[in-house]
Amino acid sequence: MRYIVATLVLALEAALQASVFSRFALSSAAPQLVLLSVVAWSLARGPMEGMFWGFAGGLFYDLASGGPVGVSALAMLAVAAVVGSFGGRLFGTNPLLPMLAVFAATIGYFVIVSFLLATLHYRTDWNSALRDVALPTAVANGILSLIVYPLFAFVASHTTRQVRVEF
Amino acid sequence: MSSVRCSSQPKMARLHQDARALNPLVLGRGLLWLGVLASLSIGLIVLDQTHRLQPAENVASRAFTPLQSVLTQKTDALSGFLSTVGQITQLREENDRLRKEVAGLRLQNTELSRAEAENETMRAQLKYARANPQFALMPASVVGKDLHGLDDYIEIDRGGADGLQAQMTVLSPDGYLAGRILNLTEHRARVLIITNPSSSVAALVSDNEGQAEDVVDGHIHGRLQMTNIPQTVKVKIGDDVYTSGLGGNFPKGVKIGKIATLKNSDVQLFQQAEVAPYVDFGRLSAVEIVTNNLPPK
Repeated sequence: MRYIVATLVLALEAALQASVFSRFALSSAAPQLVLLSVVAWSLARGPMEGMFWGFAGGLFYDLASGGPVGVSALAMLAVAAVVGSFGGRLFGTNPLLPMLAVFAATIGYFVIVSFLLATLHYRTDWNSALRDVALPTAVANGILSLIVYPLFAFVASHTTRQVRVEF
Repeated sequence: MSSVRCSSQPKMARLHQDARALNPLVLGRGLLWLGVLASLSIGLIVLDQTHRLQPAENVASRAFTPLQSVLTQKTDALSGFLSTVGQITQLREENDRLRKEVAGLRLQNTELSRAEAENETMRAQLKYARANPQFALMPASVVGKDLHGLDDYIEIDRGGADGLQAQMTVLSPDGYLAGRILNLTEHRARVLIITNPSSSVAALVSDNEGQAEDVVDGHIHGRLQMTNIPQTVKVKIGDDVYTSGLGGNFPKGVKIGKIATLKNSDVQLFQQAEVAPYVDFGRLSAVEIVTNNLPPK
């Protein structure tokens, strides 16, 4: 049941991201909701679930946004794997660490997406991508993570197996 | 996979987690999944780039498009509001820039209007001077006026040092009678305008058969009155009233105004008329002084 709920939540987030959040930019700082959820869940539940939901969330986002299918899926997968590996070390320590992790993960996600797009011969302006998109989004995601991460951690602690570790 | 209860023992759990992270079997399984999902992603990218995912994308589109459409519609107002908030700095800067631009344009417009008015005044002065070579005219600017009291006057920026003298006739730039100089200093003169209740101008009004002489008296609220127009002259509303030159205070033939209202009764000896002055004293900004027609002392 929880897999169905999680899938629906991610699909809804992808739809929101592709239609609504892209228009809610405050000085270009539009949060990347799907990425934020994937990273928060990876931090809370480790890399295994993080990778799965990263792949699913990225795929939903690709389909909803009309971008090249697989790019966001691969980027979120990679980010979730890395972030999830550090999740155990960050969880329960300084509350600012998850925020920094979300910030770094967002930058990493955009770097990977830009790299993949450049590889696929899409026109990629790295300066603009990092300065005008990645950085503001990372800031927005970092700030939102102060709300989202504790929420996800709470949900995770009430639905999880007692051991969060998969690796 | 064995499970360890650690909700009441977070430190233990972390130690356990770190220990498991080093477990080659668990690590291998994680990497295997990573490889599978990454391969799947790359496969999807390849399929997408070769346009083989079109059917799947169409299905996804059917699911996402209505949802996104509803979401977009429902959040339009909020989106507009946030967009405005996001652009508030830019809007403020633009607003400031536009305000400055408007202020600059207004100033420019005022200067242009003033220049145009001056130009018009000077053209009128020139035209009148050419048409009336018998008058020696000296231009002056109106620098002060009081038109709302019992003692209406204007002040001009020329005085005794410019050769002006009291009683000289003052005309508007287009040659209508404005008044006469009442008193003056070196560089300034006060003009008794024709609407001042103290002002009386010998005037004449004519019809096809003859002309009648009378006096045009000033009246409060900027009106002029003629109270002794003989019944023998058939005056009509709209007829021009000129200076008659009698007494020598004003040169003859200068237009004063036109008949605005007329009271004519068979039982009275004279007709009474209200005259509308041609000079709009409220807007008068320049005058001409006739310097060669002083009244006899």
